[in-house]
Amino acid sequence: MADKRLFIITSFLITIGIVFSYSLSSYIVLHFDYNPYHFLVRQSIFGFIAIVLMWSIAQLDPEVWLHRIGLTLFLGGLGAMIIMPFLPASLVSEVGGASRWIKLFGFSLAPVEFFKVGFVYFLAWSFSRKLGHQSNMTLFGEFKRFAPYAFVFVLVMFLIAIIQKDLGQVVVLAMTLLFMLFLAGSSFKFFLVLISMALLSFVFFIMTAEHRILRIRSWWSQAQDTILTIFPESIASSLRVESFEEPYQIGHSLNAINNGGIFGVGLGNGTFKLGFLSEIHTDFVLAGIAEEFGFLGVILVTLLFMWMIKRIFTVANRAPKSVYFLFSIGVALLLSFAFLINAYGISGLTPVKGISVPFLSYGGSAMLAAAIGVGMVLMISKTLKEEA
Amino acid sequence: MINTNRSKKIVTLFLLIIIGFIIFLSVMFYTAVRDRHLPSKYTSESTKAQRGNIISQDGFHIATTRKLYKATVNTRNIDPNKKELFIQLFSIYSGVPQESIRKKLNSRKGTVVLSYLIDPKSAQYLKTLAFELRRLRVFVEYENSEGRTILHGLNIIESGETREYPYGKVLTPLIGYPRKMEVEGYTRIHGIKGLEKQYEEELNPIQNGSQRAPRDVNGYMILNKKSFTKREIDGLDVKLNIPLTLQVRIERVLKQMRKTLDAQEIIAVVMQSDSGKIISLASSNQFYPKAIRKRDYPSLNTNPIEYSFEPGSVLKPITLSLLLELQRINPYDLVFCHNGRYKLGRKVITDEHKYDWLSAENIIVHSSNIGIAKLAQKLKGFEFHDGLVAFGLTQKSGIDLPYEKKGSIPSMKQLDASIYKATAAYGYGMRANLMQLVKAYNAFNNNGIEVSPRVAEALIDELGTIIPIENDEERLVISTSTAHIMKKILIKTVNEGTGKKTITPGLEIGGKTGTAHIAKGGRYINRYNTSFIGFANDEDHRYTIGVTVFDPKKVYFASQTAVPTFKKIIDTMINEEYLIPKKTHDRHNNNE
Repeated sequence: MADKRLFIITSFLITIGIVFSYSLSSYIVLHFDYNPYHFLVRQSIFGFIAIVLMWSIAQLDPEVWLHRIGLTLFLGGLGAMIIMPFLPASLVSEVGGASRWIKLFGFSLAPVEFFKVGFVYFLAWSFSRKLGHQSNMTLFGEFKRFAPYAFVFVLVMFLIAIIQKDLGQVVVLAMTLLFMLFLAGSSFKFFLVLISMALLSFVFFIMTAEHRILRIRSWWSQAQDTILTIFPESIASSLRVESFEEPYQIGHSLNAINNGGIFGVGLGNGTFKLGFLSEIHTDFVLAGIAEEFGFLGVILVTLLFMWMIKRIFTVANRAPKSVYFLFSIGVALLLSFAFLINAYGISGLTPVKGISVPFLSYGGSAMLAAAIGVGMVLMISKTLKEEA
Repeated sequence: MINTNRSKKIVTLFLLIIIGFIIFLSVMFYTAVRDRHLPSKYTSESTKAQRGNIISQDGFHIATTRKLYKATVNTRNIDPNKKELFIQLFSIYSGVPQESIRKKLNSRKGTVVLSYLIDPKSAQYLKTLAFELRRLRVFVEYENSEGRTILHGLNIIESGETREYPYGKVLTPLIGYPRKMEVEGYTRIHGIKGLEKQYEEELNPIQNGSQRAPRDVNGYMILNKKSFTKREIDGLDVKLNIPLTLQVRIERVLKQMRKTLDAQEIIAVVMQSDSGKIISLASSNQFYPKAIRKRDYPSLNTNPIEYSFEPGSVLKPITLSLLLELQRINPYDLVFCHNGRYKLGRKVITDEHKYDWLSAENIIVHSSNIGIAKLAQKLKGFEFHDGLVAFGLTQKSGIDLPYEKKGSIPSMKQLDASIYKATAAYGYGMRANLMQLVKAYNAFNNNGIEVSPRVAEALIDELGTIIPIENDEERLVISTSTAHIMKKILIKTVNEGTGKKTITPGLEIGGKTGTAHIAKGGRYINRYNTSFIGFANDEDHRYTIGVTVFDPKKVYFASQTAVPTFKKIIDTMINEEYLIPKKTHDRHNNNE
């Protein structure tokens, strides 16, 4: 028996996403002269397919299908991302110099979304076979064992960060990789070392380009107001920098949240969706929800999301096989990091990274990929041991 | 062992994630409740209401208002690469030559006004253009001295209104003229003279329109239940009793006569006898209200009411009617006229034509100064004075025009003296304007009832509702029987006396001439004002008509100046079918 509650919560989140794809796109459809139902119709179709897909996958036998689907997504996604730069322009949508979508039968697919689920499966599968806690292993030994994954990851990073210019996805994947590595049985020491290395390379990456420093400074100048409130004044004053102009998108995102207040202005009544936030139906969907349904609406959506994550963790905890356990954890981490990176971005805590909110943001690829991921967890949930 | 380890790791991880979510929620809560300076969520717009129109009785818009718009742009906001595109498109949409736009754009850095005189239609087009230019990314941000980035596009703003007179000089000086006044950068029109002044309050815009509504990023309004609209209400239209078609023709007559007679000015009034509706009020001397030049200054006054003059012999019928009303005489009483020379005290009164005996009636018909001077002695000073006042002398005629000159008459006490009685009896030593005289004569043609002259018929609001202008109460000045006698005498004056030239078969015409010396520097000089005041009736219509010719230099007899002008006005009214002569009924045949 698959986890009914997980299925229902996920479907409910998808439904909320559909409602907002209509409300939040009201200006965009006018601006681009689209049909008023342009986004609603598409998101509804995606949502319907996602729910059906999730349910269908849940019916399959994990012993056979988890491996098949997981590896297909991994290899298919990887292959697609490799050949994308060589595809004719008619098959690849290019936006701002970044090629992220393959056009297929009138649809645009983002291979990276599917690849993420495949990548998680690949890690779960190979970690469960090779890793395991061995107390006698040296740090060097752990590095040696990690090297092949590092190679795969660097290749992937190259594909996604350089060719697709999608740094946010790399961050999600890197964090998922790290935490899965930790859960798969690496030592805490190794985990810490990797985290420090990641942080260092991140700092190095930023310091090497002036525009990145500037971006960070401008982010800090407006994030400091929020973050420094929790520090005592003596520390806060030394951390304070001179105020920069708030970045346009973040500024309006904060405006939207502030305008919504506790109870929101009501569905459809938002102001900042009217051209102020051009990406409101995708990357800034949480700001849109915050404006129209207020802080209470955000709490509701967040609690639903946390409940969904909790269900996945429960599945992971009780999963009979290591690969099931690791895969479920991986999916939960993918979803959580995507949500958090987006949420921190729109609330001004971190720079915006162009990551969409699973199930809530408008977009077919992300929703279908996430639904496949949850579907696979549902498939696993059938094998759980009865509660003791 | 591995399982408990796994559970611990999972719980730790889940707790970490929960902390992540809680941080997010805390920040969201803080952002939601803290004070934050939001950009305005609403936008408002105001539209200025316009001054009302002045419309002729036959529906022509004599005075209208046109809104003007100005186009401004900040030169720093124009992408240098797209400047030529901007110039070309603006020129096409506005009709302003490209060279002039280029010159203005290069004149200085910052905000420049490309044109002040954009009509409403072009303004609409230019607003569309402003939107298109934004889409074409013609405008770029620039940073001002305070380090703020500024992005403004093409602005089309109401700059004021202008008064238009589509028919040029027609109806001047009656219509008056306006003055422009700038209030908070908006040019308003205010009436200074004539109808523009008289109906200033009614013509003035009633309520400016305004609109407040939620806005989108570009400041476009979103009209929904939260939006608020106050409609603009333009000023009322003033509809006149004067038909343009008749007015234009009478103006033409006056101009032509002025030329023929080499007069300074000729003025005329045509009034409906029963209602007081002025159907024409004209002067030979006109101006173009949009462009008043120095030489127009003498013509700016509406002289039928703003100029008072010595009426002369046209006052005789009024003196006679007072005597008849008080039953001091009857029309057939004979008066000895001293063969044209009569000494009263130290003053000698003369007549143009010498008569020995004349009936009271014939004193009017032949305009004997001696006769009327002798008759007037039968009036007591206060009777004469009050009688003249009752006929409206020294009183405002009540016409709906500003700056009326009331004129003057000798005091009661002066009129106790026989010499004043004599001179006042034939209209000397007093002043009146043409309108006052026409109003007084109107009683003869209207059964003794006085009416107030009215130029405007009604006010019309935006919805087309007609608000009639209340007329003053009618008043009996003289008894109906006296009025009838006077009317007969005036008809006889036309048929047998000084007004013969106005005889028109099929119409009932009566009237009296008057000639008076012009006084200059306290002395009478050898120049004259001549008048003819009377009436013309057909079966269904009755009109009281007055004409005054100021200072004709060719000939000065009323019979050669005011009378032919009066006749031409009647002919014009026949042509325009305001008077319809009876065809089968010929006056001459009837008399035989």
